Amino acid sequence: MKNYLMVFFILTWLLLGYQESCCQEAVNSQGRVSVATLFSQAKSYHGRTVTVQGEVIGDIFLRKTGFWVNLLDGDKAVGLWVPPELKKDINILGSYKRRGDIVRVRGIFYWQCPEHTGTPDIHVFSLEIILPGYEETMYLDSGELIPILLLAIIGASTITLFRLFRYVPSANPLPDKNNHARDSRWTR
Amino acid sequence: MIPNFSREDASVIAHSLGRMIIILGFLQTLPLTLAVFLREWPVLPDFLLSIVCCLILGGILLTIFPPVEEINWRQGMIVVALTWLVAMFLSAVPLYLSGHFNSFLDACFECMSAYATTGLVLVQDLDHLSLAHNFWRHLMCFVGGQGIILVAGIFLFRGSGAFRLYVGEARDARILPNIRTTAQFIWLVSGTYLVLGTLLLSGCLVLSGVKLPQAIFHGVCVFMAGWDTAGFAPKSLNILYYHNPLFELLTIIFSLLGAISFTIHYAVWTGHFHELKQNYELRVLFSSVILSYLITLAGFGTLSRQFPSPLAFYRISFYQLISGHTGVGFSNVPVSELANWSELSLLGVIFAMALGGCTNSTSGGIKALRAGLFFKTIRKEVRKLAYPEGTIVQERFHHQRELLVDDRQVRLALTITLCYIFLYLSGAILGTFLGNGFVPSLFESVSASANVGLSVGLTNPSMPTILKLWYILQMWCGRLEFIAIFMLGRFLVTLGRK
Repeated sequence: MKNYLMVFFILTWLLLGYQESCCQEAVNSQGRVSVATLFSQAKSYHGRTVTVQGEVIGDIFLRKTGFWVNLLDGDKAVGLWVPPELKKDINILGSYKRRGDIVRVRGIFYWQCPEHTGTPDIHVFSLEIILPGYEETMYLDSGELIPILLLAIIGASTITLFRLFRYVPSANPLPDKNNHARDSRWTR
Repeated sequence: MIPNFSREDASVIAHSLGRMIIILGFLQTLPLTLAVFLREWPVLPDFLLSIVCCLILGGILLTIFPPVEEINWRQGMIVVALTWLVAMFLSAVPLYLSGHFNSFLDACFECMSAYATTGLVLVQDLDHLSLAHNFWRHLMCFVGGQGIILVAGIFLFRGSGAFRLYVGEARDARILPNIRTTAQFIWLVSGTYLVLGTLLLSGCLVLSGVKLPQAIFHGVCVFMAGWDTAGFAPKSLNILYYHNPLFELLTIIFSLLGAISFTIHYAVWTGHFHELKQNYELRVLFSSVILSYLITLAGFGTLSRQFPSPLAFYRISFYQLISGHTGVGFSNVPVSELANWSELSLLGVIFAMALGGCTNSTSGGIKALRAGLFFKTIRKEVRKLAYPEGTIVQERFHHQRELLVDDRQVRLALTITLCYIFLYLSGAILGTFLGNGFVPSLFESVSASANVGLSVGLTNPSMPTILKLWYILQMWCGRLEFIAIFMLGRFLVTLGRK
């Protein structure tokens, strides 16, 4: 029995050690971890203080004791639960017309948040803007419209030509012995 | 022997297809108008090019091929199957030009996923996609869920021709005697819920401090994806983006309403509330929700996983299950969460997805009525054995009115079910062959075929091309329920022979 317990403890220790090493590998030199890593190793990061960096996107959702904002890191996003006093630090949220602030946040990652009925989030306690967001310049490249206009003209001309020289089958399917031209006719 | 298709058939099909393509072009003026209104100028050429392509192609087909007097069953089926395929290609043009897709095939995948109300996505950097493109993704869900033919065809085709096209889209309920009035009723119900759903969902967001125009945009998009059981969302986090349990509850309610047959909606609409209690399909649907949830729960029991509270457990597990069963595919957890579920839990969701919602609804899958028919048939056979030889045994069920289980119905239901099972397995085998686990492959395959959209992570832009193509085929077949596709296959073979 003792041997079994010993083997069990060694295996558990090895397993935890492995998970720990995975976590350490995923944390970069600045102590930052990617959101993709957080989700792929959610169990090992659950309840731990992490530093993540990314663009704040979309909208701010206000609640009584704080607010929600989402952070995009690469192709993965995570919800941030932020205290109200940090709201003034966020200026621009990312969307089609805007690149949002790139922020570095420090907080506790929860795979299943006990405070917010089980969804994954980060409870932020510090937020720092690394790169301020900016408005994208939106303009219509008239050069792109020229091929479309040409295509429209060619298309309209083709349809018109088809309509002008349309082949209309005769109502009488039997050929007329005297006048073969009556069998079918061209509109022009 | 089934007669071969003639040149006249091809002419009728091409002319009808031309009409559909023109309507598709006009549909794209909606996101174009939105782009102008929101001053999203770089988006304009994307939609203009697509609209021009639709008008030219449709115009050429209408010009070359003579007008249609009446469309027959076979022609109607082929028109439907071809319309969905052509709509996929033409609708993919603006999406591809947005620069948010790796390839044109990815954009086509997204379009088929939207039209078939699946909800599997290959879009990249969705959070920076223009509102016009995003609206187009959701509009496709709405149009596909209602039925492209119902959107376009009913107003273009007269008489029984319209009904034949309507049936081609896997709908067979003549709620009202006339197909035109049936279509009008469906639009009335959908329109009413659209207004109600948008108000409630937007209101939820406005209370969270979101600006009104943004809230309305999200409300409209999420409603269209929920009601038509598509599962797209304007942001990459899907429903998790909103961090709002009330919002999630509303999406569940609207997706359940979407998964209910329009015949039941009609009964409730006309004050026949007893239909809710008596309808056999509805009973089967709720029984299967309970059964599949029990399987999922049993799966959670095999995991040593602890949820912070019972409410958290139900919020996560029940939401995914209802999402799978109704075929909506919304998710309030990241994709990696489902990958952490036990195989038994995944099998519970697979069972729910495979079965799907009600017939004549916007959801996919085998459908509750067909499953109910099998149950009744088994009961009938057992009773036959128990009674003395020669006794006539009949089984009844209530679906609008009292109906008898007859062999023809069962045979048809069995054929469609077998086709679905084959489709589910084919995608699972292909996924496994490409190096994925069998259960995740089956999950993704059923999700695509039953037009659900939940994913364990197999569907992504870097997945093999063959799998993308196969999922497109699965979504197409699953939405149209095979018959129209089989007819198209026969038509193409006949053309090849000539």
